[in-house]
Amino acid sequence: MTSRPRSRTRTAACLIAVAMSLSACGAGRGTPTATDRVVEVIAPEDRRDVEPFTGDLLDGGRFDSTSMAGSVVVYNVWGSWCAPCRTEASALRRVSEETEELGVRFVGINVRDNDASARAFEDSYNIEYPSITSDTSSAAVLAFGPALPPSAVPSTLVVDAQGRLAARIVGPTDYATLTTIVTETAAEADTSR
Amino acid sequence: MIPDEQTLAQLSDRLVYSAIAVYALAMLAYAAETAGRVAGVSRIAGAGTVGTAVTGPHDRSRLLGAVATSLTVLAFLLNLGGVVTRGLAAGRAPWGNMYEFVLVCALAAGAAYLAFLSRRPVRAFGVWVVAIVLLALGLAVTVLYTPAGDLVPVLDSYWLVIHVAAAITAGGVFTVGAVATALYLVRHRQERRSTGDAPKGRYAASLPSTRTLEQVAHTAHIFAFPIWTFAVIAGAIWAENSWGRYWGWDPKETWAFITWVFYAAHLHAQATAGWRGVRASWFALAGYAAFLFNFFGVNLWITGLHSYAGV
Amino acid sequence: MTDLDTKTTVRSHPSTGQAPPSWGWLRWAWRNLTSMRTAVVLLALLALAAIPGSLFPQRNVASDPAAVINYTRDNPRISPWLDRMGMFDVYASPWFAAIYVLLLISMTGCVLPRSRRLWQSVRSDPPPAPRNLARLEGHRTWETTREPAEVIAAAVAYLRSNGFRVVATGKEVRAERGYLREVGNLAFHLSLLVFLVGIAAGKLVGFEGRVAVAEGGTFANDVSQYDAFSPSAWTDVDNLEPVSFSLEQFDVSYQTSGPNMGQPTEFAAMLAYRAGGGEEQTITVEPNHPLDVNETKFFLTGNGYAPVVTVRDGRGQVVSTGPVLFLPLDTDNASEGVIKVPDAQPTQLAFEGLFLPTAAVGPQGPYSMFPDALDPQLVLTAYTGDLGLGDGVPQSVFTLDKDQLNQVRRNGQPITQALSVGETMKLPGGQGTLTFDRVSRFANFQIAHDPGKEITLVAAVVLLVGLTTSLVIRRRRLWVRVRGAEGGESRIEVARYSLTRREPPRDEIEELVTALGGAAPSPAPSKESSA
Repeated sequence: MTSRPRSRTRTAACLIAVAMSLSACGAGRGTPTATDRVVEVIAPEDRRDVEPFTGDLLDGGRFDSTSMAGSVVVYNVWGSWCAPCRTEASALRRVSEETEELGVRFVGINVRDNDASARAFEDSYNIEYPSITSDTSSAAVLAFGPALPPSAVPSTLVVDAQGRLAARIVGPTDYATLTTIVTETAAEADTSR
Repeated sequence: MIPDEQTLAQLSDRLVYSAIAVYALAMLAYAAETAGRVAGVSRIAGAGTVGTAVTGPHDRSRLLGAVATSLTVLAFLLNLGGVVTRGLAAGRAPWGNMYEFVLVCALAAGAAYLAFLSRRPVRAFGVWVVAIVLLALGLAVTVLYTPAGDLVPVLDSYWLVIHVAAAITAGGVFTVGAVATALYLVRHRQERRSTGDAPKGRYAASLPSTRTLEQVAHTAHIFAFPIWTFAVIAGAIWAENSWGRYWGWDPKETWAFITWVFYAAHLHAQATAGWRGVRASWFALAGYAAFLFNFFGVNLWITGLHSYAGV
Repeated sequence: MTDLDTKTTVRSHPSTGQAPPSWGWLRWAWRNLTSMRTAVVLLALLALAAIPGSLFPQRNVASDPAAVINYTRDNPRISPWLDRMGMFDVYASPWFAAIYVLLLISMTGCVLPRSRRLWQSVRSDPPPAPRNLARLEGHRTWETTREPAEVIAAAVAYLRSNGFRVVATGKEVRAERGYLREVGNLAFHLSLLVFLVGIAAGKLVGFEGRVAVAEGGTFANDVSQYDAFSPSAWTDVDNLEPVSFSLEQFDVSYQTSGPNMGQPTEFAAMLAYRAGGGEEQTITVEPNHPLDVNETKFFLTGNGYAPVVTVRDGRGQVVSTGPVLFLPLDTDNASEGVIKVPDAQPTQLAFEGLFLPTAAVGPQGPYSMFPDALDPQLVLTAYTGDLGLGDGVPQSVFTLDKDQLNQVRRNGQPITQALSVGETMKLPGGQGTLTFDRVSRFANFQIAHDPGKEITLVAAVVLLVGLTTSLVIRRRRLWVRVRGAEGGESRIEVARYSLTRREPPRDEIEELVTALGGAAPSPAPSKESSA
């Protein structure tokens, strides 16, 4: 069996290459754009429609974006593994509660996660609004594709009552930014009605 | 009855060892022949002729040369048999790891030498080509030996067969080109130095004329260079198929590029006034050195994507 | 640029027109830059400049993205200097670019004038015979009683049928062959330019990326979903191909016997994918067989294990369940990984350890004997406390920040437990449990989009054909001269001039002589004998 170590080197190099490429993936996933946060509010005339999408919800049931027609919807892309998501969780919860009476709806888009961890996260931060499961969130991610830069977890996307992308926040949001954008978008929905 | 894989693999190993033994005899015969030729030169030189090729009856030397060439043919056939049985044993093209690669490259060098010998007076190359082949085969069976077997999945591609076959063919012909170039340099030096009646470098004087050596080297290079180009392109296509990019400056790719550029520089230098001949030859030798380094150095010392094709 | 095998050496180009004196140095510089000598020097420099890139680790190049970082850590003294000289980025460094840009200019400056000259020479007739044909190679002469016009007509017919371009005067026939050589030569050099345009297109518009997906996991082709994404200057990241897929199943098998035992024999990733708004389709992606959606290709380039675990916290709630990526450490796939459970209550939980597909215990502790999952074990130690995620600083999913974590101990000893499938690790004090449910795998995909590829490929093919043509074809001129002599006898002379260094076909002249009714060939000069 003198040959065994030799044939091993071959696979070794292959595997090392794999391991290394993955270790970079670790770094990639560990460094979202928290530092270079983007906040962009789009003027009504420049807004583009968001393609309709569907997905399964963490608490069971099915989500269809067309059922949200007529409402301002805030989509939050998140994962329980993502540290900045934790810092913004309470702001999201607070804005969702305060703007409920304005008819604003909140929907989470869970990515690269497992459902149990995601539910535990919602449990920890008392998130009441629904979230699309990680396994079925591809369609939602693709629908917002152009608005999401690399490593864009967390990101918050505001869709106006006409189903167009009105604002995006890449990186963790804070209460003041979010509540301003959401209430303004909700207000224009009222005036246009 | 069809022999099973293990029998074939054993047969292959035995054929390779036999090839080594016969090549060793061929080298001895060539060396003896060379010695005879050199002695002949000094006799002629003593008679006042310098720098011309040897003519006249040197029957023993000629006989030795014929014996050496016959032995080389035999060793080549044994090498061929070793490669073929290896391929049958593994059930694939027999150039999937470095051991097999060296085996086939030795075969290509032998073939290139014999092909040249059939049309040009290049028997003086014999001792060197056979020495290189012997060295390569010796290294293959001692350091690089890998038992016959399947390939790792990423190497399972017909582009591998094409890419490596082209690289091996080019390598074999480059070897003859490099021997011719080196001998050209030796001979050139001797011709330049030997003024008048004082012969210097009896070995060099026994070599074919610089003109013949240069032409053989040139023919070898212009034959091998497009094949090498093709090997690089085929490798790029395979890389594209397998890793999604056709060029990534992997060490293997880099040295293939360096080899290519040196040979390109050589061919250009051959067409440049003042560079033709000696200076241009050094570029060809640099190209061959890069080829050898790519073959051995990169596989053994530098890790890259190609390393799993290695030892 | 140059003809790679020509006898006539071009050292500089004839200057065209009169230039003001101040342009003198520019003309001088241009002439030197486009000279063959400069091309040779630049080629040699290019070869030498490429060498350090294979010796030092390279950014954005090698299979190992961490190579430069590791090298810098191991060699803190010289690394900054090497970095300043661009040694970690050779192929994107200014000095490497300077060499190839100069080479390209040199080449273009030579190709274009030569194309013009080729165009002229193709349209002009072969030149007249030199006065003294006897000095040329293969000169033959003989007397004949045939009429000169008859001989000339026969020579023209013979040479034409042999592919020569032929012009006849009353006294001589001028023939030339092998124009394709220069055509091939120019095609080679011009296609080299197109080749580089193709590479540039890919480098400017394409992208490369990487993602690891566990069995059952999904991926959407959006930059936000990549583990690593390397766009080019003009990559349209907003309009990536709308593809998504889920990794349904990932089969890996290994040789279980024989000399190459443990060598992988199969990698097959079954994907269910959806392109655009289309129907869901399935495909098996293997090495060398990528998923290709409109030139965005997904290559299977790596793999590893992702054990599926379920974690319950102190309340008995399931707080995590699913595959966790473990990174392979050696050829037998011993892998390491961490499991973070930040939402466990009352305390956060974390686990760290090894996954061993075929577990064994040796003197140095547990290890894996074989790469396939024959006897899989998860060897873990546990932590409680604060994972440090709450302050919003991003973390790698493969490492634990142990600053505020405490190792779980029993009787003062840290507990380490080896779990087989189905087994559960119970933390003391009812802080939680971890169950090893089953083994699954992850696949690593390399995603590439390179729109300039077709241009590059076509250029490479033209390059190869041009190169081969320019090296194989031998350009030469042949002349047949007939001089009428008194007494009705004519004197015929035949000679050849080769424009390439390689000898033209040997028998060409003899065949021509025979065709013209010449004498039997004189004994050929004996071959040079060296043996």
